Amino acid sequence: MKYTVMECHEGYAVLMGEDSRFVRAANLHYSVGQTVTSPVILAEDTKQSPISRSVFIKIAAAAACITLVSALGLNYYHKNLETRSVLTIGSDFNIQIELNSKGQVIRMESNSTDGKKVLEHYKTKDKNMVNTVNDILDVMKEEGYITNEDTVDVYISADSEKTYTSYKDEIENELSAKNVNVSTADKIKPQKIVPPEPIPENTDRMEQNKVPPEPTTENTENVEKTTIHHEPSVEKTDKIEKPYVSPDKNADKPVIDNQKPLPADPETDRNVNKDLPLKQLPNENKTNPVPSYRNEAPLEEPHLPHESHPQENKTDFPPSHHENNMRDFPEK
Amino acid sequence: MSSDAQQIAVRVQLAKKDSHEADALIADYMPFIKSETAKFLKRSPEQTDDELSIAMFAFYEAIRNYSRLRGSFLKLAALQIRNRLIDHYRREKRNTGNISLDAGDEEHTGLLDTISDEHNDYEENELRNATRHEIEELSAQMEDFGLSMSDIAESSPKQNRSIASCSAAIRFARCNPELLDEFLASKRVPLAKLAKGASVDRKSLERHRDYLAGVLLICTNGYEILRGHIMQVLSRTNSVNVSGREDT
Repeated sequence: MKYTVMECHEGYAVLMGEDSRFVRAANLHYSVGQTVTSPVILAEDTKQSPISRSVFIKIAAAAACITLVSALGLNYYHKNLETRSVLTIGSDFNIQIELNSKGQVIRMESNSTDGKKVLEHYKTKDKNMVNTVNDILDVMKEEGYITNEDTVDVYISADSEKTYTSYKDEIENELSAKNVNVSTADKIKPQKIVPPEPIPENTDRMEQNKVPPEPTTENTENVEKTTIHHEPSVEKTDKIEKPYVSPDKNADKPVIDNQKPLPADPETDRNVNKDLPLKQLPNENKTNPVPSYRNEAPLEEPHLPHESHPQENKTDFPPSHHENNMRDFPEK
Repeated sequence: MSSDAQQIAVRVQLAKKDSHEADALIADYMPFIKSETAKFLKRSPEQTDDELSIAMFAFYEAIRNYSRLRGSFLKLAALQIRNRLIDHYRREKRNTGNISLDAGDEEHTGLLDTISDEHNDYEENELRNATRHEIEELSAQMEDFGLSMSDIAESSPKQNRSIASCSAAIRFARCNPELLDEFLASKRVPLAKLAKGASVDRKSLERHRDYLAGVLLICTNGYEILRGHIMQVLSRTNSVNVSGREDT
């Protein structure tokens, strides 16, 4: 850019650029009316950045202030407002007193009705831990929840062993007149609810790719499922469609609907209705008309196939041993 | 703070506002400026040395930047002179591979004498004299308006957005000669009309009132050479919009 020298001073010269800007530059032996190309321009006359130095300093100062205030606030929160230890008074009352790092009471809460009533009557709001426990015990006595002979358990859950020991000693010494048992909670640190581990999404794929495990003795379902395919059991008969039973006077004796198809016996390939009451053997208990065959030894072959055929029952059902016995029984 | 230091501080404060006082302060402290330049050059500077001009300019810059919170003025001025000279040295070092046209051989025939000169020295001198005459005339007219070149340089826009706003206002005034007549008659810049006509913020024009007055004076009749120098601004119609971004 070309500049025209407009005015010459002792230490500088005023130049006018082609963009009509007036700037002050070093007077390198210039004369008025001369055209120069690369002058040494005063720093404040050069194009300033959008954020000037003063604005930048202000922004930096504001950022520093915000950082300082945030750090102080965070420090204050950690020291005074963050729960570091928890005292629990009585297992029945379950009054939890949350303490900060200084041992001051932050808040109290209880999830039992008695504990809530005690806290409602507790008005002192003292920040001292021992005084708070003492006052709560007094409220319990006044309300009649405890007497002087009772023993109250105080559980301490602290973030460190040292804190736990100091709290324990303090409570035991200060509340020595009262029957107070001090013990630790499950953990040194305050208990937190641990969320369950998320189930990975690709478990189904993994299970599909995996070879199915062999059934063990503990896995009874697998065992039962595997046995179902090989030999008939009661479970399988439960799945079979039950025949229609008319609700008439012969309710005790079920009527078999012959219209409906009967399931096939896997061994004999004949239709079998297992819902029919089995004919009891002489030694069987009569109060249990439908015996369960699960986990029992298979029945004897000669009795079941014949008795479980309804059509044979109707037509030419062979006399059982019991009937034979009855026939042979001498009439009095 | 000693009485000398206080006296210097007072003079510096005056020199900040008055260019003549600044010239006087520079003239009074010329030995100090020369000594600081000699420290850098390791020799006594001559009056024709660019380093001395740079040092005087750095001293003026120190006057502009000084405040009482920054301690002694002379220490600040010495630091400013040294920094400026270092910058100048680095800038010149970049051109060390180039041969000056003034450099000659033993017979004192410079390179400038060997190449053909297409420029006409007589015309150039005439043009420079005419320009000087226009500038002197402009300076005299500015005095009537209570302005100086330093004041105009002080209020000149620095950022592109401000330059675009002022250029729009100047173009609008040039297209409306009655505004220039009104300006010459009342010796006041018609800021309201310029802002309304050029559709720019009035506050942005108010900050550069002296600059606008100087350029509007150039736009009036009688300053053809100066007007031709800034013609690219005056004739530009839409190449620079008000937001300061150049159209491609």
